[in-house]
Amino acid sequence: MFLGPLAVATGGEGHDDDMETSADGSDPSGFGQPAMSSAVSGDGSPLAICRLAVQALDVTGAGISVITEAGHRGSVCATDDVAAVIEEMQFSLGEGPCVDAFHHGPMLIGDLSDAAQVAASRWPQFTREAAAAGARALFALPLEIGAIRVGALDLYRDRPGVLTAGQLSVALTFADAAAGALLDDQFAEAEMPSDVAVPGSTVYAEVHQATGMISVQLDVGLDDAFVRLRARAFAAERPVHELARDVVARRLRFDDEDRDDR
Amino acid sequence: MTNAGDRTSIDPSPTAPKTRERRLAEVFVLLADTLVADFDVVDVLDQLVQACVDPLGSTAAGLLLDDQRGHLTVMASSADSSRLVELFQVQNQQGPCLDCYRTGQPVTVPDLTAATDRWPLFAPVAIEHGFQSVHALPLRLRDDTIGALNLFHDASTPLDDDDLRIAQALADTATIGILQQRALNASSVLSEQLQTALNSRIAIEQAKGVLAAAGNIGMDRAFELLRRHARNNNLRISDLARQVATRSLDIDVVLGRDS
Repeated sequence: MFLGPLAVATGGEGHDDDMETSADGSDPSGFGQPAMSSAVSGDGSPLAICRLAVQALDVTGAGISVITEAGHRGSVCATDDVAAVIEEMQFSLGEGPCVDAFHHGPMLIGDLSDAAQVAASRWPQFTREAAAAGARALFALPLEIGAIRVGALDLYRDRPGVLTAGQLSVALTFADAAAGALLDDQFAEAEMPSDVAVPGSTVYAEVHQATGMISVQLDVGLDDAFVRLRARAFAAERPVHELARDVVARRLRFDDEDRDDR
Repeated sequence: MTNAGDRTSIDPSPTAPKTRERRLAEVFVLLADTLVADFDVVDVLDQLVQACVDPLGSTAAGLLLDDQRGHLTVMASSADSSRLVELFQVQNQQGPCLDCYRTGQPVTVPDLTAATDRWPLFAPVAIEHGFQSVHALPLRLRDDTIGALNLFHDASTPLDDDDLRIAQALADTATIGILQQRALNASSVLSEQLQTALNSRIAIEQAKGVLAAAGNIGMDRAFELLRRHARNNNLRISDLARQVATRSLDIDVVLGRDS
């Protein structure tokens, strides 16, 4: 019943053989976000998500960077050389839209060669060099789930043009998927289905409330707590929001046993 | 203040309608105050739903916003009952708030018991939670509808036209609140603004969870403490929520316990 598993890019554990993939993208599991299901089927890795984003959004390339509050950063993947340059350059210059998106929310620049837009941007040197590398429009989206912030998704075009409202909406959904994929890279040991990886459920306040509760119960970070909640739901074959409801209602508690139980 | 004096003398009886007008004026003053400063959209919407209940004679109010991914999400609610009813609508894709959002037109349901044909899932649940009538007002921006303000009543006493105009003005104020923050940052667009507000809402839920587990209290109480600490310390509730959620400040202070 689950969609393609979320292959962990850094993995090597190789759970591939017992994975079940469904090509039709149907989502009978009740996790919601049917529109996303087909989008993240495939291996669900950050790179796969970037490739799908490129196809779906009429952009030229995409890349993902990990950013932490402590400032530790690194490029995770890029779909082409220009996207790779965009990622790397932001770190070497210490400025750029993906860093700002991480701290301040989405950054959308429809025309990097527009003098006014360049002047208004906070990254004059980055903008000049990105344009020289071949980018004409750039869209940076934070990878975040509330107070959990993991990085940024950069999308670029080799021609000017803004994202339409519909494209932005799809881009945000890809950002949700990428946030889940990065978190699993960092915390999950077992493979998870990509539809579980999609937070998608801003509808379900309980998922986020339970994440906060679990982080206190286990004395771990929110990010870790979020992944454990989903891992446990996956293991129990229950929708995440149902399990979250049990946590909020105090019918279920994560305790020391769960430290080794994921 | 001669004006105030004149008005008092013209209207000798401090009757209910006048009291109500005053309370309404206070709501708009409150919102205007909030909107001129460096404000937090989540905070404004929260204050709006809390403040509009009383002067409109409603039992509860709630506000839904487009989550930019094809769904509505509950951004603010004055009571647990209205929050549950709105979540039910969102999850079952049925109800007056959904219809209002889809059509961009106000939806008035004077008597929910007569609406079970139209919303077979929603109407019984709303009644079960103590509501008899519902009004849904669109948050509209030119051709786009970005959400809905919903007013729930425990009696089948629908709002009259004047009340509805006021309610729509409140909904418009909420829209302006969301848009004005956009104006503060020239490079951003409405969608970015909504996205930031939605993410703040998630951080607030995470912070509520942290406080609930750490203080062994309910979610409503956790939110109250969060809101109170933000107000008392002149913090944006979103910023405070992030600090609480990541436990980068002393949770005991927010819980009112000595550490």
